[in-house]
Amino acid sequence: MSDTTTERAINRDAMTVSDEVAIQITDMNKWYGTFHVLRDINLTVNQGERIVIAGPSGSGKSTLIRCINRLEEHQAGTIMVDGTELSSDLKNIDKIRSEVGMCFQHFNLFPHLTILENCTLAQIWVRKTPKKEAEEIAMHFLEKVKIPEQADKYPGMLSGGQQQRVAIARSLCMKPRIMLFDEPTSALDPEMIKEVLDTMIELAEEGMTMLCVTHEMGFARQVANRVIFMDAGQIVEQNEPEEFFNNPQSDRTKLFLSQILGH
Amino acid sequence: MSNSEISFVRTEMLPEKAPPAKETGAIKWIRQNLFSGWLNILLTVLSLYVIYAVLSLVLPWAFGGVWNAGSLTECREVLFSFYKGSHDGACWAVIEDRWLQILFGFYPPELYWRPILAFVLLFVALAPILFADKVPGQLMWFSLAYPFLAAWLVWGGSFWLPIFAAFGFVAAVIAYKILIKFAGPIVANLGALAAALIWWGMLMSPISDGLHKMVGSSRFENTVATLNARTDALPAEVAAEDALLEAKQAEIAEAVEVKNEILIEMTGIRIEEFGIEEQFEAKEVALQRIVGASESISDLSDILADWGGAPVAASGASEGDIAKAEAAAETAEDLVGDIESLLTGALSDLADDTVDASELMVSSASQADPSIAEDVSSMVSKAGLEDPIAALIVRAGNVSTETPEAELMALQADVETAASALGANIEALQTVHDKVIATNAESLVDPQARLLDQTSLLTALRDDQTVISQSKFRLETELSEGNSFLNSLGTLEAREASLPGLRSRVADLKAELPRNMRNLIAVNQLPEGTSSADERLLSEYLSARSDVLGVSASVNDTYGELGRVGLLPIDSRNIGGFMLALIIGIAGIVLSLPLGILLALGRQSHLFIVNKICVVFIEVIRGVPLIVWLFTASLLLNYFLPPGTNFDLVLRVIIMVTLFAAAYIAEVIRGGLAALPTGQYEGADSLGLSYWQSMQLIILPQAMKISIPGIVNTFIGLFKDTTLVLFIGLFDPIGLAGAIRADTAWNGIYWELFIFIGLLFFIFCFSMGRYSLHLEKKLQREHR
Repeated sequence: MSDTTTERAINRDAMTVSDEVAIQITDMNKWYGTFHVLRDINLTVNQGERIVIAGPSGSGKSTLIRCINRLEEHQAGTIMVDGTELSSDLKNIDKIRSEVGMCFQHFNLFPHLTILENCTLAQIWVRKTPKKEAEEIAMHFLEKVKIPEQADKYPGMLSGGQQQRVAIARSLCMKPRIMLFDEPTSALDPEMIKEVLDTMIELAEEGMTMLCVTHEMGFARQVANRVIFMDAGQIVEQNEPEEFFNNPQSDRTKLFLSQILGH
Repeated sequence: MSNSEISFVRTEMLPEKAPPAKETGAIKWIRQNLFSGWLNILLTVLSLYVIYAVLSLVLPWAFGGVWNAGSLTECREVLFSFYKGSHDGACWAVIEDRWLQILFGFYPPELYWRPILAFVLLFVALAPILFADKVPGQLMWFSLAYPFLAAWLVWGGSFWLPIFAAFGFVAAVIAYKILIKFAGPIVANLGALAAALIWWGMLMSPISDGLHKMVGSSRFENTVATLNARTDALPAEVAAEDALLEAKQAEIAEAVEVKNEILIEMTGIRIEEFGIEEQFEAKEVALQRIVGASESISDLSDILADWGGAPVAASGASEGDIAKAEAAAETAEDLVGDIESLLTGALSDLADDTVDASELMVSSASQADPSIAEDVSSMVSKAGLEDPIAALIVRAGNVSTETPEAELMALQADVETAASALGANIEALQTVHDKVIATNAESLVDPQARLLDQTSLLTALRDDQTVISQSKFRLETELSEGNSFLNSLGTLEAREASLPGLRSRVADLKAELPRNMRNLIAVNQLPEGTSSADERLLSEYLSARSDVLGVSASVNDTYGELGRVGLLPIDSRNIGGFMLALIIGIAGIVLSLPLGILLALGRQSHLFIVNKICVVFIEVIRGVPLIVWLFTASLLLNYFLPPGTNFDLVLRVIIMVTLFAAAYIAEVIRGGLAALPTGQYEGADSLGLSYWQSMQLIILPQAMKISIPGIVNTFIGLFKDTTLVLFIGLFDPIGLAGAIRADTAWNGIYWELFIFIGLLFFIFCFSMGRYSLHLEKKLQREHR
């Protein structure tokens, strides 16, 4: 796995963790049919935390973060996001979804809309922001991810890295309190991975609460304040990055780390 | 291998170059697309030949057609006068004569402006939908109002009817807006539906009737006075039109006479052609017979040579030999007879033409060119041919089985001489014929031109006649309708006054009836063993009730006509032709798309009941032929509707066609939905968009784009399927073609009519196809 490092020093000043709880997952279980995907997940995320979730494929990492904005339904336990419990009540779900931003492995931009329209759509229809204002906000965040000049193009005309940055900007336009990243760099070329990670690091420096499923261990080391290792639908180990990488406790973690960092 | 050999560093990037000249331009295109290999060369040549063969048949037929004629017979007369049967031509005159009927059916001609206006406005209404980026969005309001406006223009009636019909939707919106404040979206939607249904079903027609009555009462005196004056004046107008019509008919008869004279004149010019052709045929037959005679002579001489004279069996020959000799003798006798009879036949063939040479010599070609006269006279004089044959017949009469061979040989040589003389004569005749035709072609130019002028004059006269007879028909209708309307106006007061009495009688009878019988609608529904008094009571009650319904309906009708403010109403039976296809097709297209989208979403829905309803609906509608649904619309639907409802047939057909197309559209769009990656749904969900928002903004625009070819395909199919209404008695273009062919004037014509109808449909279907291509190109955003 590439161990991307940034040239510049990372400003950890704003990366403070508050005592306020952002996400509280208690005894959460999920099945696909009879297959038990997530088992007794307990996880508390405070405001301002940057959590990297690692683990082999099929371990349930993606399913876990998809449960947080209910792209997947859980069958037992509770998930509280910003003090609201996720249930089948449609109003709660739409409220939480507009508070929780999400970036996907395949970006999931809307190909029939321009970059600008991608960014203003949800503001206009969900937040009921006037179009003018929504466009200003969108341009602000597009500048932030460094692609304001692409605003009038269609997603198909952009490179993968640019598309993923648009996807981040699209989520940010909704002013989310929490950002979820589902393997944001695994569909990208090495050259493009860096531009996306830089954007994510900037986001972290501003104190955004982030949950990130990724195999970028360099990113985890530099930015995360906690690394969670999952296997077979369970949280196997969690620790601060230094401890996690230098002194893993469980054998499963050791094996995983040796495979992922060993070459 | 040393390291220095594989190391390479480019110091300069290569510039762009133009491709080789052989690889560009028309030559490359031809080489690549037409002659790229032996098989392709063969296919190209073969295809070119097929195209040539088809066009060389079709083009002369189509472009050598006749545009001015009053009937198929006239068409053929004109065609014969030009081509003399050498090739066929189209009789486009039937289109010239009937195209308005094919377009409008039996719609009153003086009101054609109404459907035409509706058709023109259609494009105004479509513009903001089809070309949203080039047309101001405010026009959308016109598009929404258009269906009501168009229906009003085509069917007519008071101006408030379309407004009232549209108000149903307004009522629904108002109800939704009020209810959404107090209750959830489901209640609000149901409330909106209920509001619309209550308005359409219960409020609309009483209010409209009330308006008619109000306006009608205030007009009563005036209308009666005007109608009286009008009905008094009308008979004179009808008579005037009648006189005009008679004059026109006389004019037409005269023009037909002139036309026939021209035809006779042309036949006169061609008399030599015909005469020579007749001679030609007679001489050909004679020649064949003479050749036959020569063959018979040679057969006979063969037999005689074999037997060394007349076939006689040698004495003491076996029984078989005797039989053989007898058979040979018989054949020889037959041949002897044949020679004479064939020659006699040839002579009578030669005399068999009816044309007199002297007659031919005074005809126009001979007069135009004296050399032709000479040629003709020498060719048609048969003395040189007949005399030798007559001599031969005499000699043939002397032939017998005893004739010596040398004599036979001499006879045969003379017969052959006669045959070759005849052959030479035929050949010369052919040359003369060609010459005559060439000369006649010149003489024919003038009468042909006059014939064309005359037929176009005739067409103009017939058009005038049509206009006059239409106007006469209109006046007659106005008179008869005016009289019957005056009648019903006269009884209006009495009918209205009788209503309260009739109603109270119904109420009395109902009160008398036993309670369990009050809801029955027919006497045969009575249970067994009902007393005859009760039965009588029920039947009295039922007839009183139907009296009330009938009288009040007739009062409403009278007021409806009296108080109408707007356009003359047109019955659906009179709407036909291509206009009907357009009405059904466009209404079906506009209505089936939204319904199809809803069905597709329903079929994808996780809500079990909704899902299953949509699946069953789609499968049932799709699984039964359209024609069955059309019959259902025209016949069976009456059984399910409450008695007395008069549900327009065209409207019923539109509903059925819409449902049918919607089932197909739903499946096409479902394909588009399935082709979208789940990431699009998740992307929309993760932004907090609601289900309807994500469908409207994210999913449907993309799914519809994928489905454009399939949707347009379905629309084209729907449009062409409108011709099926022919089977339920509506006059679509095909039905009208049948009606036109049933007319004695056009009996036997079909290609021309169906080509015209096909062309009409093709124009619309092709336009739809092109628009779909344009749309696909415009929405193409995937590639860089």
